Amino acid sequence: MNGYNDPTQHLFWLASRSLGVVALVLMAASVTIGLFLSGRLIRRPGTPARLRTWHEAIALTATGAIAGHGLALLGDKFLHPSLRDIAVPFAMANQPAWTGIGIIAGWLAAIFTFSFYVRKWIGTKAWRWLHRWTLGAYVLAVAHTIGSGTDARSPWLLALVVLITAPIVFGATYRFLPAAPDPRARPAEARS
Amino acid sequence: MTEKRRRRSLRQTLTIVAATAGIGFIGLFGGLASQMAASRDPALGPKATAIQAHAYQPVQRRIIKRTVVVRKIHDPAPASAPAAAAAPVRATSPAPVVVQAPPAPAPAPAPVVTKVS
Repeated sequence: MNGYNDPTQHLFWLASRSLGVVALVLMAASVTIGLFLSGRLIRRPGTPARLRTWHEAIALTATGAIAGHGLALLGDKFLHPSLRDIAVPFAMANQPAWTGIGIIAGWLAAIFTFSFYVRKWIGTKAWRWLHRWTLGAYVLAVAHTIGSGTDARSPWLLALVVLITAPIVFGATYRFLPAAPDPRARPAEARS
Repeated sequence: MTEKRRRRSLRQTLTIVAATAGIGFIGLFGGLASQMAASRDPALGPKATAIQAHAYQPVQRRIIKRTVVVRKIHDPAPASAPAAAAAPVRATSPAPVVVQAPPAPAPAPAPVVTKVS
């Protein structure tokens, strides 16, 4: 064992990497449920209410994992970033662009998650508009994972990213594509 | 769903999600740590392998073989002679080259004596 293959010397770095992957998976799950809810893909009575609870719980856990992903790096004696490096975009000397994108994605995810609790103050319309940008935060998170992630070239991580992004692509396509006209509505429209 | 019920449901769901995330974290952490220990970490693996290869590289040695030639010289003396029994065996260097002395200069010619009477 030497300094390069002794895990005990890189505990914080390994913890940060693991939390980053956990955060990405949770974020993907939350975005998927959000898209399925807003796109009305699940219509069984009672299910949307239950899914909303899961959506909220997963988003909160994802935010915690994102915070842990950044804070764990503070203990890494090799990278040794400051609080400013992990909180301010593009401040870190190591891969500033990709880490900066990741920090922006983290802040956006936190803002979108906690905006739910200030919905009364900002208004439902503004909250809905804001919440729609969660998808953008996920895209930034994926870019950060592939751009600066240590395991970005590992087949297992690439497979995982594809696996968790596929339902999002499906949900977003379903949600944002213009809805086909309801065939049952035509005779009525024709009559009127 | 009342607010109280909603909060209780959220707390229960949050516990399940956090526990699942914790298990996922432990699994990933263990996997990444074992990957690192096996020198297969994407970032540090090549460095670790290079250091190990350098550490275990066998020291190259140059072996010099020295051959000593032992030449037995048989004494030409008769075998009955006691000295011949213990024929000297000696390590010799190449036989000494006998440098022959240059031939002696020819004597000077005798002086020519003329008899004058």
